[in-house]
Amino acid sequence: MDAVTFLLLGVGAGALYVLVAAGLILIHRGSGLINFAHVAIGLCGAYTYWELRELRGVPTWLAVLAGIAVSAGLGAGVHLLVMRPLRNASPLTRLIATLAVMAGLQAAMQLRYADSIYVRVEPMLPTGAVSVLGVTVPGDRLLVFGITVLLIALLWAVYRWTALGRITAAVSENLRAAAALGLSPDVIASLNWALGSAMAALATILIAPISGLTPALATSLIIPALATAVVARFASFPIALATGTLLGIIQSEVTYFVPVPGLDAAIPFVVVAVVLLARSKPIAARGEPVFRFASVGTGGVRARYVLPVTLVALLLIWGVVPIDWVSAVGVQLPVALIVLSVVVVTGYTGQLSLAQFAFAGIGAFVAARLTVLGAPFGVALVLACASTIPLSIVVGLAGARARGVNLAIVTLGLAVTVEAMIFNNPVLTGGFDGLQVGTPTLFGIALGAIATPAVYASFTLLVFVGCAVVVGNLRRGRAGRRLLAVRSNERAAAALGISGLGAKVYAFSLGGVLAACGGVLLTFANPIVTFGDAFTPLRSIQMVQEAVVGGVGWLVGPLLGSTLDPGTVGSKIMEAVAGSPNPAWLTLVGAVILVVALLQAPDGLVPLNTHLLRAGWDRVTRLFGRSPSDRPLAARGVLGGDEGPSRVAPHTLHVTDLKVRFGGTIALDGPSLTVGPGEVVGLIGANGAGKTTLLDGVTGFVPLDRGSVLLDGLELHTLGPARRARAGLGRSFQSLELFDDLTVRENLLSASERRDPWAYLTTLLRPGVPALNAMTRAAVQEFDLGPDLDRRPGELSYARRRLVAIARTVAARPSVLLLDEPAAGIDAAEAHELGELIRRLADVWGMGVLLVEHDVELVMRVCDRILVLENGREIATGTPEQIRMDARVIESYLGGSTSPVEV
Amino acid sequence: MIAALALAMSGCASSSLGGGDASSGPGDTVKVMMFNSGQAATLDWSPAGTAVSTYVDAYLNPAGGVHGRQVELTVCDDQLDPNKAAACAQRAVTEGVVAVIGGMSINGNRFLPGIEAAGIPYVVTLPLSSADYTSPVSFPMQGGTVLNYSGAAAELVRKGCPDVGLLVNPIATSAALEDFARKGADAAGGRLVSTVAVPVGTTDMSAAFAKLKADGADCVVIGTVEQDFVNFANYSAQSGSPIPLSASTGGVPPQALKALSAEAVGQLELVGGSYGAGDRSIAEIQQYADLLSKTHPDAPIEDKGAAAWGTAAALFAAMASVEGDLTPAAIATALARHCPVGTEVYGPDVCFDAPATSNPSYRRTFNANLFVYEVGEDRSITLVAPPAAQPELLPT
Repeated sequence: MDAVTFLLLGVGAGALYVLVAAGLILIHRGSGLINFAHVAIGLCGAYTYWELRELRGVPTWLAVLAGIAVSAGLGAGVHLLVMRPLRNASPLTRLIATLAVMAGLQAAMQLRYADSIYVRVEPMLPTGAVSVLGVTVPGDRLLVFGITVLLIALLWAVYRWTALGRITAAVSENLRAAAALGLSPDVIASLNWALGSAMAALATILIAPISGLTPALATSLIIPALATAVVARFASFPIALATGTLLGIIQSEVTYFVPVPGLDAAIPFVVVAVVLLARSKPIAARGEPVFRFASVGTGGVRARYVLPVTLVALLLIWGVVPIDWVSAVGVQLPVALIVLSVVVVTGYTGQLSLAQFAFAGIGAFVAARLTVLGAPFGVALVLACASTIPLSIVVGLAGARARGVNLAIVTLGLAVTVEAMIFNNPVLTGGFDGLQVGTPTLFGIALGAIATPAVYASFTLLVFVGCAVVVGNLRRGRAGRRLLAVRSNERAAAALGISGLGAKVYAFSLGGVLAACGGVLLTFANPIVTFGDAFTPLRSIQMVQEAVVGGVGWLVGPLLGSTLDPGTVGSKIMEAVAGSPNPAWLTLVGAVILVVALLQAPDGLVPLNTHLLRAGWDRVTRLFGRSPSDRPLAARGVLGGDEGPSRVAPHTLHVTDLKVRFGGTIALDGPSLTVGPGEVVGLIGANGAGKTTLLDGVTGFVPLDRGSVLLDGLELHTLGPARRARAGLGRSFQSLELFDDLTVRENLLSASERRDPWAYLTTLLRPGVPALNAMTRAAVQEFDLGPDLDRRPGELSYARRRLVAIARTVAARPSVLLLDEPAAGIDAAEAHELGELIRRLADVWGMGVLLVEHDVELVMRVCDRILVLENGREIATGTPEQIRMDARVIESYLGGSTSPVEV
Repeated sequence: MIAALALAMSGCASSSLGGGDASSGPGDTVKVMMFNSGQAATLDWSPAGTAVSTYVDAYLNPAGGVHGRQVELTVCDDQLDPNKAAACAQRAVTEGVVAVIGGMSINGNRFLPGIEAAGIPYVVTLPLSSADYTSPVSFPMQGGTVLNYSGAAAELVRKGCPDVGLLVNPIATSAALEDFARKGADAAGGRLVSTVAVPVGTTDMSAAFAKLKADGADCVVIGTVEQDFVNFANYSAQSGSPIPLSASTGGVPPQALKALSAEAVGQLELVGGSYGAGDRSIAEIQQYADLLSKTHPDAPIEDKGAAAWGTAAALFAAMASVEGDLTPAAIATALARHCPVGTEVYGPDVCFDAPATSNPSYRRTFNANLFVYEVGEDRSITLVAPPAAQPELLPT
C-alpha cells in the first residue's frame, strides 16, 4: 500500500515537471533553442498573478490572465531582443544567453520582491485529501495531474492538426525551406516563445500553491524539467508526459524505499542518461546537423610575450597591488584553470560538458583525503589530477554516443550524482567538520593563502601559465587538429581515420585533469576543506558561461571569463566601482553585461578584442606601405619541395553481397564489387538506388545486415569507420563535410598526419611545426590549392571546396578512394578537369577509385568498369560500353528509350 | 578594461590596507573588525552589522572608547561567499586588528584558520561552522547550531511528541544535524525515528512528509534551507493531519515566517540562543533600541541586531579589563578569564572560562542557555519560558 501512496504522490510531483517541460518543448519546436530562462520567465508571471490577486485584490481569473500575459510578452521580448539577434551565433552561445536571462530575471525578482522572497500562494484548487486505490493523498496533486494531462492532449492536438503546428514543424525541420514558402521564421519563433512562456506562467501559477513562490525555483525546477524534455527529444508532448510522471514517481518511491540522501535527485538523471545513451548512435548519422561552434584561437604562446607578462604579474602581486587584490588573484586563477578545462572539452572538441566543476570537486576531495592520510601536497595534487582520468574515460565513452544537448544532460546528471554521492556524503567529506588539510607546502615553501597570499597567488599564476602553455601546445599540435576535426565534423573525421572516441576520451581526460588541478588550488587556499554547497552542478554551468564570455576556444578566454566569478578580480573591480551593493544588483547588472557582451561578441570577448587589435595593427602596417597579406605563401611555409606523387600501397577492395536495412526498408540488397589498384569503378543509379548507402556500408557508417568488406585479406566489416580509414579506405562526401573551423592547410594536415596515440601526450610538450608531407604537397600541386592553403573553406567557391574535399581524402594516402558525387554543383569545364584528375589518381598515384556520380558522361569517360544499382539491387555491371548498351540500364536509369546512349 | 582595473586598484590602494601593528600605543585608535553575512539574497544579517557599528560609533567611542582609545571598526561582509570570507580574514591579519566580532557566517571554516594563526580572538554571535566550535580563538556567545537543533528535538519531546522526525537537505554539513537532533530527543526521553533528506528546492514536499509519517514521526525538526522550510511547514498544515514542527531561529529569516500559513504558524516553535529584541527588560536590548532609533530612525529593532549588540558589549567589556597593551593575546586571555561576560542578552551567567561539554568537536561551547519561542499571528516571536542552561543537550 505504501508503494501505491508514494506512486500517487509522485504523479503529482511529476506533473510539475511535465508542465514546465511542455513549455520548453514549445520554445524548442519554434526556435530550436533550449531555454534555461523558461521557469524564470514563468515565475515573473506567477509573481504578477500573486501580487495582483493577493496584494491588490484583483479577481483570480483576471490575475491569472495578467500573469500569463506578462510571461508571454516577456518571452516574446527575450526572443526579439536577445535570441533573434543571436540566431547566427553558436548554439552554445545562445544557450548561455538564456542562462544570463535566467540569472537577470532571478535577480530582478529578488529585488522587486525583497520582502517576499518566499511567498505562500493561496490554492485555486481544492486541497482536501481524497482516497484513491485505498490510500489517501492530497486532492490538488491529482487535479494538477489531470489538468496536465488535458493540457498535454490539447498541445498535442494543436501541434498535430492545426496550421500553427504544421508551420512550426516546417520551421523546425528546415528554416530556409520554410522561409522560401513565405513563412517567417521570426514570427513563428516569436509566437512559440510567447506560447511557451505563457505555458510557463500557467505552470508556475498551478505549481505555486504546492511549491510556494521564490526566485530560487527558476533553477531548482528547470533541471528535472529539462531532463524530461530531453527524453521527449524536445518534440513529443506525450513522451514528456510519460517521462515527467515517471521521474516524479521514481523520486517519490526512492524517498520511501531507498532513503539514501541525494539518491532521489540523482536517480532520475541516471535513468535519463541511460535512455539517452541507449538511443544514441556511436557515429553521427548522415544528415545529422553539424553545429557551428565558436571560433578557435591559434593557441600561439609566444615566450617573448608570456614571460614578461608573467614577470610583471608577479611584480604586481609582490609589490604593488593591495593584499585583498592579491587574494582575489589567488581565487581567480584556480577558477580560470577550471574554465580552461572547458576550453579543451567544449572549445576544442565540441563536447558540451556540464560536469567540469564536479571534476574539480573530485580533485579537491581526493587531494584532501590524501593530505589527511599524510601525503605531501605535491603528491596529493598530482594524484588528485590523475584520479579524475577513470571517470573522464567513462564520460568520454558516453560522449561517443550522446551528442550536443544530450551529452550536456548526461554530464549534468553526472554532476548531480557526484554531488549527491560524494560531496554530500559526510562519511567521505568529513561532514560538519570538513577535512583538515592545513597549509600546503611544496619544496619546503609554505603556500598558505591566508598567511602568505602573495606566495599562493604566485603559485596559482605559475600553474595557470604552465597549463595554458600545455593547452596552447595541444591546439597547435597534431592532437589538437584531431580534436578540432572531431568537433567540426565527426563523420568526416572518422572517414579520415580520426577516432572520435579516442579524441573525446582524451579531451575529457585532459579537461578532467585541468579541472581537478583548479579544484585543488581553489580548496587548498583554506586549511579546512568543506564540501557543503561548494561543488554544485550549477557551478559547472557557470564555468561554461564564463568560458563562452571569455572565448571558449581561446587560451586567454578563461582569464577574462573567470572575472565573473565571486571573490575574483572582477568582484574587486565591481566593488571598487559600485561599492558593496546588494548582490542581487550585481547579478542583475552582470547578467545585462553578459547579454550585451554576447550580442556584441558571440564568440567571446577575447576574439573580439583580438580582431580589433589585429585590424589596428593592419592599419598601422598599411601606413608604412606594406599590406599585411603581401607576404608570399612560400614565406609562410606553405609549399615545400616539388616532388611528384608516390604510388600508394596497392590493395584491392572486395565488397560481397551487402545488405543494409533501415527499419523495415531494405536499402541495399546484395550488390558486390571489386576495386583494384589503379582502377576506376563507377557506381550509378537513380536517386534512392542505394549508392551512398553502399559507400556508407563499405566505410562503416551504417551497420551491415549481411555481407563482407575486405581489403585484400583484411576483414573491414568488423571495424569502425576510423579503423577502416586507417586500413586504407578513403572517402569524400556528397555534402563535402569539410572542417569549416580549420584552414585548408589544417584540413589537409588533419588528413595526412600520423594517427599514433602518443601524439596525445607528446603534443602537450612539443607541438611540432605543422608541415605538409610529400604526398599532401603533391596533392596541393595536383589540385592547385597553394593559394588557398591559409583560407577557411567558407571563403572558397563551391568548386574549390569540392577540390579541397577530394584533396583532403587523397592526402590520407588511401589505397582505395570512394568519391560520392564529386561533380555535383560544378560546371562542365570543371567536371572535365575533375575527370582527368580522377584518372590521374588511378593511373599515376595507383589508387583504386569507386566513383558515385550522376554525371553519366564523366562516369563513362573515366571508369574502367561500372556497377548499376536499382532499389538497392545490382542490375548491371560491366565496362562503360557494355553499360551504355544494357537495355535494362537504359530503361531504368539512362533514359526511357532502349536505344544505346550517345555520349 | 585595463584602465578600469588600474583605476579600481588605485582607489583601493589608497585605503587603509597594508601591514598593521596590533599593539600600537595609547592615543592611537584600536582596530576591531566584524565578520558578517549581510546583504545575502535570503539570509540577511546586515542588522547585526548596523548594531555593532552603532555600538561603537554612538555608544562606545563617545564614552571614551577602550582604555581611552577610540575604536576603529570595519565591517567585512562576506555575503555568504567563501572567497570573500577568506579575504576578510586576510584583511584582519594585514590591518592588524586586535579582535574580531562575528555576526553570523556559514564560512567560519574559511576565515578562522587565518585569524587563529594570528592569534586574533573572535567573539561570535551565532556559531555555525565546526571551526566556530573548535578554534582556540573562538568565543561563541551561544550554543548555536549544536544546541538549537538538539534543543528543537528536545522541546518537541517535552511537549508530548516522543517520536521525532528530522527533515534536512542532503549536504555534507547537514548530516551533523541528525546527531544533534538525536541527542536532544534522547536527552528528553524521546527518540529520533526518521531522517529524510530532500534536495534543495524540492517543489512538492508530500512524499517527504509521507515518508516521515510512515516512519512513525509525529513531529518534525526542520533543518533545511528556508525555501524548503516554508514548503514543508505549509504542506504539513495543508495535509489534513498537521504535526508539530520545530526549527532554529538562526535558520528562519523573517521572510520565511511571513510566507507561512496561519495553520503552519500554529504548529511551529523556534529555538534560539538569545533574547528577542522585543524583550526590553534586558538592559542591553533597551540600550540598543534607544540608540538605534536615534541614529537609524528607519531601522527596525530586531533580534539579530540585539544579539550582535550583546556580543559587542561582551568583547569591549573584556577589552576594558585588559591590563597593559591591547594585544590580541591579552584580549583573548581577558575573554577567557572574564566571567560573567556582562551581557544578559544571552541569558544569565555567560562565561568563557569553562566549556559546557567535554566533546572535543564542540569544545568551545561555553553557553548552553536555550530560548524557546512561539510565533505570533503577526509572525513576531515571543519567549515561551525563561531561558535555562541545558548542557545535557550538548554532545558529550
